[in-house]
Amino acid sequence: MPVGIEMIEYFLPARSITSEELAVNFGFDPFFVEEKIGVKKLYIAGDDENTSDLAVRAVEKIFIKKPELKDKIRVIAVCTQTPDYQLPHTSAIVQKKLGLGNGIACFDLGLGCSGFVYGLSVVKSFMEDNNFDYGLLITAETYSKIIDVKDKNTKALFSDASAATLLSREPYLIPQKFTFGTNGDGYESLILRPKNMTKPQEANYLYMDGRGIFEFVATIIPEDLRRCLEINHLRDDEIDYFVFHQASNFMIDTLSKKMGIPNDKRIIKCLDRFGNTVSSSIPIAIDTISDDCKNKRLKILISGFGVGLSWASTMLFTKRGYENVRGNY
Amino acid sequence: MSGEIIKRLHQIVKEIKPSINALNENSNLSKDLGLDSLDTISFFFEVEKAFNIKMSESDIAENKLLNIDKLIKYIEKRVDNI
Repeated sequence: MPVGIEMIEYFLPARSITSEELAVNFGFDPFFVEEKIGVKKLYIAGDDENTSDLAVRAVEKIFIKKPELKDKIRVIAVCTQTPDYQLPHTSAIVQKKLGLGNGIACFDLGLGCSGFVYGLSVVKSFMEDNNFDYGLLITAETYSKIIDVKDKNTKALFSDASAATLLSREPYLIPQKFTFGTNGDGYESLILRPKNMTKPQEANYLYMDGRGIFEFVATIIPEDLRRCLEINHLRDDEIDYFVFHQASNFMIDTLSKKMGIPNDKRIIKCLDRFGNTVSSSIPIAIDTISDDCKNKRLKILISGFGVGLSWASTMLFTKRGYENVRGNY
Repeated sequence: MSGEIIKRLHQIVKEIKPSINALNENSNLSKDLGLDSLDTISFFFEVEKAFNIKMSESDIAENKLLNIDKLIKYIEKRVDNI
């Protein structure tokens, strides 16, 4: 079997804020937060809780189900843009906290909302190239630590979370061909920088150019999705689920309209339960349909897009669907 | 010219917020038509596409383009310059 996704577990911090609290404490219109952004609850890491802590908690859920894996994991990739430290890489801290052996490759991927799809390709290729049987792709962010609480563009959007995706040769989801892209012209559309650029010594905050991001999602991503369908020899009516990065209801609705599939029930939305969890949003969204994925022949189009500007898409076939397409292997 | 522009602006607004029936030169996108910040982003994206122009954030703020009369004048000027 090719390397694919065997298991996904995620972790949400204990601290949270509801849409009602956002309305009362920060002056948001409740309709705007719940319907347009699509958020009912956002998660916030504790003051002493770092990205590596969130990452470890998600992996521990996998080890509870499969304790024998502790000695079998050969690679850990942590995708994050809010690392514990600028150096060392967070994956090394995760390896230490999990008490894993030294014969393990650890590296970080510095990507945001496209990171899960990129990471899937990177870790899968790395495992296949090195003949590894088990690897972990961890997506983890603590954006709450870099958000300016007074910034209405970001305050009601991002949520802290982590997801651990176990890749192995016994997958229930098998990635097909990928598409990737980058438009560095838009690097300032989502950026961590001092509020006052003339005072670089001041603290950095997340800045988001809503119009720039919207234009990117409304123009480049539909083209990329069509390209992904094309290289995988599929039409959009053959797709069982569309799992887009959970940017906001507004962005998902815009993308759906541009794809000519508005209000389609195949489009997964789980913003209300989790918020925008950056690179964890796709694995968490996949987990919401895991029962279907384990029991049916499905084709799932996943697409991540955001900071960079960066994007990546691929098709996931469930094991049953893969067997159906490929025959006996 | 302004008649054609206002007709197109009305179509764009209606696609974003189907409940809006009337739009005139005195309308303000936010105060009168109730477009929120995300609707406004979507609106200006479609306006740029419809008239083949680019409008920066500062253009919108400095020219007060949330007001339909000012937006029509702005579009007329920009389209004339193409």
